[in-house]
Amino acid sequence: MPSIPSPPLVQVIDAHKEYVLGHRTVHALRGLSLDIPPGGFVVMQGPSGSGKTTLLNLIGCIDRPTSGRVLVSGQDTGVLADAALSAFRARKLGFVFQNFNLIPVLTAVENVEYPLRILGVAAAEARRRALAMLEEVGLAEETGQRPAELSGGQCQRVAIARALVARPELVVADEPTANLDSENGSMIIRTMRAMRDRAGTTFVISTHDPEVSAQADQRWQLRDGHLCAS
Amino acid sequence: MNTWSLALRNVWRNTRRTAVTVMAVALSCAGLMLFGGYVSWAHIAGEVHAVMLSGHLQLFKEGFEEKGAGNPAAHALPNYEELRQLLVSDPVIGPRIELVTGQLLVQGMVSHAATQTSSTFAGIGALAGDIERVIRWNPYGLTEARDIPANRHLFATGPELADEDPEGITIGEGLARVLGIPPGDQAGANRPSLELMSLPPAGGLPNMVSASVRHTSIRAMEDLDNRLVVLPLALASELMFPGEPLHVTSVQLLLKRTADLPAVQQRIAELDARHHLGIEQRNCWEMNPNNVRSVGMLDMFFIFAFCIVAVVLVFTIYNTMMMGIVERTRETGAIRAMGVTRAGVIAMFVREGVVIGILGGGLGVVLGLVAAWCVNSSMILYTPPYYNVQAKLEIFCMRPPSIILASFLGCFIVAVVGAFFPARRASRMEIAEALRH
Repeated sequence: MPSIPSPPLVQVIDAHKEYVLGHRTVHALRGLSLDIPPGGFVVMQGPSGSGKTTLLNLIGCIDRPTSGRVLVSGQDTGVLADAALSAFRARKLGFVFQNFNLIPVLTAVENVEYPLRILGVAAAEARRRALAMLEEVGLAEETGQRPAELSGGQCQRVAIARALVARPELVVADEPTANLDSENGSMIIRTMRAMRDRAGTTFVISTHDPEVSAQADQRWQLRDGHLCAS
Repeated sequence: MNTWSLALRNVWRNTRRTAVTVMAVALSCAGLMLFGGYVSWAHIAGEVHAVMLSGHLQLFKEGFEEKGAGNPAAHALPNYEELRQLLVSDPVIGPRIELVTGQLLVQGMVSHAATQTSSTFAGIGALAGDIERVIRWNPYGLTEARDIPANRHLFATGPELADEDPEGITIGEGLARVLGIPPGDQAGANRPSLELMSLPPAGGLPNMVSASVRHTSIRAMEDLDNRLVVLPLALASELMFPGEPLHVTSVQLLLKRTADLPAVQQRIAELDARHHLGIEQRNCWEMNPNNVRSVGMLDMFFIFAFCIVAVVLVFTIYNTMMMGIVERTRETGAIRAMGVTRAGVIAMFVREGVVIGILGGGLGVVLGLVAAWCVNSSMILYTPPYYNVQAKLEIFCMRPPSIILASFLGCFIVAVVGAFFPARRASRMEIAEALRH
């Protein structure tokens, strides 16, 4: 008996995104459609200005398409009001940024427990889970350090722990290795893959880094707002 | 990590900027406390001065206000003793009364033969012990003008009148100058002798009595001190009503608490209606309108100053918060991406305004109290409007304590308002745009 294919975690359907810059309209995405299966380790590639970050913003529900639809975990994100969309992101999504974007006044463990506190998890439970997640990314000794006291690689591992601590279905990572040396970059990718393998979390990563692309289950190539190859 | 701990840490990210902002709030709070404390002092001083001049309340024969100014004795109260008994025994008024006494207001000419000078005078015929209680009324412990070394020579050191001295009078310092009498206490054997002359209300020739000056003194109002004669009630009555029993033009009431004045006035109006007393009443504020105007003007100054402080403070806080928000644009985008709502962003930044307000307001209260203590401990003298003696500058921050609370809350609310608008702006940033910052 043939197995029933699982529905895609992310569906982008004929998404257009336009920005108005003065008198000029920039078409960042031009009718792009794609499906991302659950548990995938997906990489978006393309030159600067190809629309990678715009597509990640739509998938990460931090921006809305000018036209078209984006469904995440079966939810049409376009119909959600701002507060509901915030709650949706808190429950379903994690983010890893190129510049880490850790909160500098918080320690590593406090940064990691922040998403749990947004979700209303009790302080003690949030602390327990944050410490466990930091241990998983190999930072058990640095829990009390602030971002300024950590290396770039350590900061990015804290950011990964923060993205994963609430057990999201999807993690969106925008050029996570761009600010790291190759050794740290490799370690970050290994960490993310290990997390995907262990928890089944879907990763969507934009990158220029061939080493990151080499680790992907699925690669999408973008050019001028179009998907041109996979 | 809780939200308040995060707010506290965010506030101290830029120590110098935060310190300057907290100091701005603190100085504003301290300034409001000091000015508020001064206005409070002015209210209390105005009350004490008004009561000292005229008691809390005076009851006159009906029509006195309209017609009595030119010839007060012609409007003497015919039923003083009956009225006095009625007030003292009344269950509403009696317990609230400190003193009920009679006064006979007279006016006429005074001459000093030794210097061949004369002047018009406005006299107050009073009972010796009673007038001392009125002019010494000071339940708030104010530093009295008579206790300031620079003024001491202007005030009588002993009582202005004495029962055993039926012809002894006290005259205003300004009148003494006109009559060529040196200020201060007058030596027993060589006391200046004056002739007081007035037209009795019954008509006929002017009547005249002799008196000798015990002291010169001052009521701290130039107009009054240039014409004032305080004389024994019996002597005043003899001047206006020779050979007749004691007359008074007003019944003066001194209350235990000024706050009881409205209740007492209402009760007297009821008694007047019930017993057909034929009286009219004037309270200390109506008799001393300049005091009311002076403190009213200070109240307006205070409101004006508060508005200026509030506007400056709002802009200071706004500026500080805006700088912080611009610096933390990407961070704000990141926490929004993680699921913090717009309201959550507003709350986060407003919480920082609350922290600045509490720190600044708290420091301001301490600074204000220290500054007030320094001012009160030093002898800074000045002459308030309508006064002709120096007063000690005093700051009554604790009377009432609500001045401290109001100054603190005023600055705190302004700090929160100053934080709200930048916070709202931060919450409206597009997440993707903020992350690109």
